[in-house]
Amino acid sequence: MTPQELRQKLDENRAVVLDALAKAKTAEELAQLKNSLVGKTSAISELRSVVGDMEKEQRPEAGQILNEAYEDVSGLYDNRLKELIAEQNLNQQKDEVQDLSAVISATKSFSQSIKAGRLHPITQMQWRLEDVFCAMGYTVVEGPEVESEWNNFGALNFPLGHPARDMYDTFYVDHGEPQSTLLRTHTSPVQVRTMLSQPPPIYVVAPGRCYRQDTADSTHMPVFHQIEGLVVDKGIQFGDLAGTIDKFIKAIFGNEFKTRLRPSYFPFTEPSAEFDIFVPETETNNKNAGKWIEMGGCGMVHPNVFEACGINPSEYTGFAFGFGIDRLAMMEFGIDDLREFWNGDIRFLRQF
Amino acid sequence: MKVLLSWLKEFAPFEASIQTIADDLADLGLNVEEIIDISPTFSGVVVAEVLATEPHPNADRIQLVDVSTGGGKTYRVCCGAFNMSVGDLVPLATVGAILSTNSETGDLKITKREIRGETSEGMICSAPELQMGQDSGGIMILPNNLEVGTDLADVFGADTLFDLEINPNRPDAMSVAGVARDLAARQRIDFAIPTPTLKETTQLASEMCKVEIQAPDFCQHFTMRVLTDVKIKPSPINIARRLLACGMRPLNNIVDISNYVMLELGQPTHSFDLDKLPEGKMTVRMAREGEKVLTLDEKERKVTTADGIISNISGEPISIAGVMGGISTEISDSTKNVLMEAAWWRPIDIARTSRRMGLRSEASARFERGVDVELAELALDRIAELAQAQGISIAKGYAKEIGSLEKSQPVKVSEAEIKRHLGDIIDMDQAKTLLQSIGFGVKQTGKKDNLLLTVEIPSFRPDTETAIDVIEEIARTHSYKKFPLRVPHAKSSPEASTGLTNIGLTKRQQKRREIIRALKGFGLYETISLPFLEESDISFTGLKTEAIAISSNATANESEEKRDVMFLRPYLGPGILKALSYNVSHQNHDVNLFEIGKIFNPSNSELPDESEHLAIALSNTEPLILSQLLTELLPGCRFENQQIPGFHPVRAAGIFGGEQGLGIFGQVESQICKDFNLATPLSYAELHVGATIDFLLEREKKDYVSPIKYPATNFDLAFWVGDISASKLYEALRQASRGEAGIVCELNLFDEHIEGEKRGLAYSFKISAPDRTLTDEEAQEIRQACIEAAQNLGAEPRI
Repeated sequence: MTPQELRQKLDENRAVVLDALAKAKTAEELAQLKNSLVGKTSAISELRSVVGDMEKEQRPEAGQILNEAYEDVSGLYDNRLKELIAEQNLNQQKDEVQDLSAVISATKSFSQSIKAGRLHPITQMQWRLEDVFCAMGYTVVEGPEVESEWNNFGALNFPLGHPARDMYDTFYVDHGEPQSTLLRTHTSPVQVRTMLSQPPPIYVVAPGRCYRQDTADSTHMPVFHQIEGLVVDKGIQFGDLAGTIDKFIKAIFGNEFKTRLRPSYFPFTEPSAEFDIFVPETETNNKNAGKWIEMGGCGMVHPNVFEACGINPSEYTGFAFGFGIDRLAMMEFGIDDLREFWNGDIRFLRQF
Repeated sequence: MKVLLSWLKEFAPFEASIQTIADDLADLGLNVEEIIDISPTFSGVVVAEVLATEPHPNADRIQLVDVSTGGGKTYRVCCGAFNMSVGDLVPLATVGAILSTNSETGDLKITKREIRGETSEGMICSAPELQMGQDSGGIMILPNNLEVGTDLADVFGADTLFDLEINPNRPDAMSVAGVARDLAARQRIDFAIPTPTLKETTQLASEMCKVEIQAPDFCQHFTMRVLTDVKIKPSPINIARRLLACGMRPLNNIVDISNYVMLELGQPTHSFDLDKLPEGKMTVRMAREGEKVLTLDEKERKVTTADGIISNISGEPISIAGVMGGISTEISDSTKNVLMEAAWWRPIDIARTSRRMGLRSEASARFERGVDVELAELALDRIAELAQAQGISIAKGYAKEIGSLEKSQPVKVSEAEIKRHLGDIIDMDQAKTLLQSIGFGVKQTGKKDNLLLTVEIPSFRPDTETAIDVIEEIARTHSYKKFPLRVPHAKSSPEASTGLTNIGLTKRQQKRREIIRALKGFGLYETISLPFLEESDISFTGLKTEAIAISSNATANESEEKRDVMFLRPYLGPGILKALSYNVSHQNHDVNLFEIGKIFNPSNSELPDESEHLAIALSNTEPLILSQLLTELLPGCRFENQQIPGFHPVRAAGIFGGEQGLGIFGQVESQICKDFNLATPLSYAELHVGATIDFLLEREKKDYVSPIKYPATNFDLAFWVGDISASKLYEALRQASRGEAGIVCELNLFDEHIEGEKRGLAYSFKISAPDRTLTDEEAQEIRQACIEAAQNLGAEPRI
């Protein structure tokens, strides 16, 4: 047999198979044909034995032709089988019609089990933070998680190509020009949006999800929650920043907690600082008791940021701060693995 | 950046405690990540002089060494190394000495031992045996200026290593000298960089090498010194020990000196074997497309037009400027003459090149931040001084070429500006003193309360360019801790009356919390799931087919692997199904979850379409139960049976508030449940949070109706309904039951009854009028109107 003849045989077989597939009306029927269509007793299997008798140089080609034909036919078979199963499911399910607009209002089943659910620990922590800041005179503002490069970096005094951008392992997304659109690496673009949309005085916090390329482990996740504060007003000084941080940390954790600022660097604030909190020795359940721990970053809003956002830096000053909600929740609830937040495991969720 | 206390002390006489120093460093913004005591861990090891060596009679690989520890005391020691000569000083662990081994077997105690018939009275040690460095081919040869018999622990002395985290805006602090400068200023101690003393030969460096700069913006200067009569050998212990402590591997005396001075002063230098550089000529230029450099790590690296390179007289690239040297001019054991280069490379180019090639080094880290443009000659002199101490000769002067040298401009800062940011706590004299203490030049002009500082920026602080940069330096050196704590409040803002309108959560934010609390009240648990999906996660339900991809190679450099393409979730379904599945696989059954989160869909606008969704999933629950939950959550909403991909073909519905679609719900298709290993029936709803909140807020605007005081009339009606949807019938009954204006009807479906093919619905009515008791006739009329309304839809009264 020549490869041409083989091809012809296989084409004929394909037609036979298609016919058989169309004729089979149930999945069971089709399954019974499996052997003869694509299995040991199929035409393709028989033709395989012919290859050995072919000219040596034709064998590889013949083998390839056979493999392609097999892939093709078994694909057809699988698709038809799925189709029949789906059809059968549909037919079976059609009998199970339920009118979902018929809402029975009687005290039937749902309320039979009296049970309260739980809020995710991150939601609980976020609400607590929001409430503390609301009490301090702030409003809660929100912004999108997919952001423009300009809102996330450009307006925040990260010049294009600036190495400081590499401090953030950014996820870019396929939208518009390459690298024009990204998953925000911090909540700071909400600062930009707020300043652009409302005149000072501004007292806001922006909680939300942020993204950085990171391999998931007990202390890192590619997605995390931050809360960012921004104050823009006349007469705001560095001491206002230090005092505000001290105040809200005490409000959240208690008066025995201490805070300190250390010089740091962020393109969008100057002077910039890291802020640490001191966990008092009396917090015996906290594994950081008696230690200073790093909390977040803060600083006076950089004049370039004010200018990018249309605020006159010689008229207004301001400060901004940001920190992770996840870490706070871990500390508050004694959770030691960040990944637990994301599994939806009921044994985790019901503890809070 | 690792800094040794002993090294810091070479620049200023620090005497404070370790903790005080660490605290001061942190407060200066040089955060201390770790303090490590690197004092010697051995005892009983002394400096000994080799008197004689002779072969061991019974072993080839051991020799007998006679050593003296002074005062006529001699010892005979069996030693497995042969790298010492008579007269060398070596470390001798005497009998009773203790060497810490870092291994689980614990410390090693030296005893008198017999080795193949010869008694050994101690042990001559190598550097690793003393935890004092790397193996340099045998035992450690000590500098010959030590006194025989000295305790070696005293020679090395106690030392402390501070591991510092240096911010990107502090190029100066990438050196021992820079850290010492800041710390000395804080502790009010005199700081000085010692001037190297040199004896140069008569040979002129400028006649031995020459460079041409063809990329003047990339290379502000290129400065060279030439070392001759070089003998390549291991570095002296003091240099090797410091390099090791600071995390750099000692290689040979030339490379080590180069690294040593980089750590000490912050100027990275590169050493070329001058004899491998034809005519000593080099060119600095940007690379041409297609050029390659064989780098020191023996890799052939492609360079692009964005990379700066150094080429030789034939135009061949021999080094990637500031990132990695080439193999062709590498220092080798036979090197005789060394060209030591100290240059300034433009930070942004070095950052890009090193990142793209995945080559981050101590040198590139410094060039990226910006090296002091005036530091080169001092650094080369210091290198020459250290080389000279090892018997290497120094050719006279430098060979130097200048690119386009930028001079920093003085920065003017007004008193008002300083006070506006920092308040009144720092007066201008203080500000001036603080700036001067870290090397800034300050001139003060103007009148009291309106003073002006003109600040000369030192070349080692290229980061400082504007007034706010200077203000930060004032605040930093003053100490952030000293600022009085103030707490501004929106209400006390000078502009509170005009600007701020809204304090606290908005109505919408409160509504969202209400929804979440209600779901909690229904016994549901809130979960969150990662918003990333694989391609197969998106389409399996048929509900969505498109999603936004995360760019695959957005930040990957050449050395990183490509990942699978991931997508942003276009709906919440897959995440919550996975959570349920996770629970089932951990034997947690009958789990009811909800999630609120953002979803993302492609759009033609500037940003993708992003909105907040709410997903509710009830395991092992009929969708009618979910419909009850939704009715409680969203009073007044209605459902319309629909065929929805991913759901059971006849058990799905749209959720509406008026005409506005709020979401969908139903029973999840059984095949999907199977795929996720979940029991059926699984009920699922997904709602658009924004529209849902709109609906709830809209409902709140409804007029209040006071409860009717007159008795109500109650009756029930039941119908055979065929395939009329309950929502239609309900609406018809509600209309009909109102009768005349003012009549109020509480209408409830209380039973659904299936009898073979027939389906019955039963409703209870409670009607009343606001101004009177309804008569039986009136009630009867309304009852009749309801029956007729139902019949008009095709329903039959069921008696």
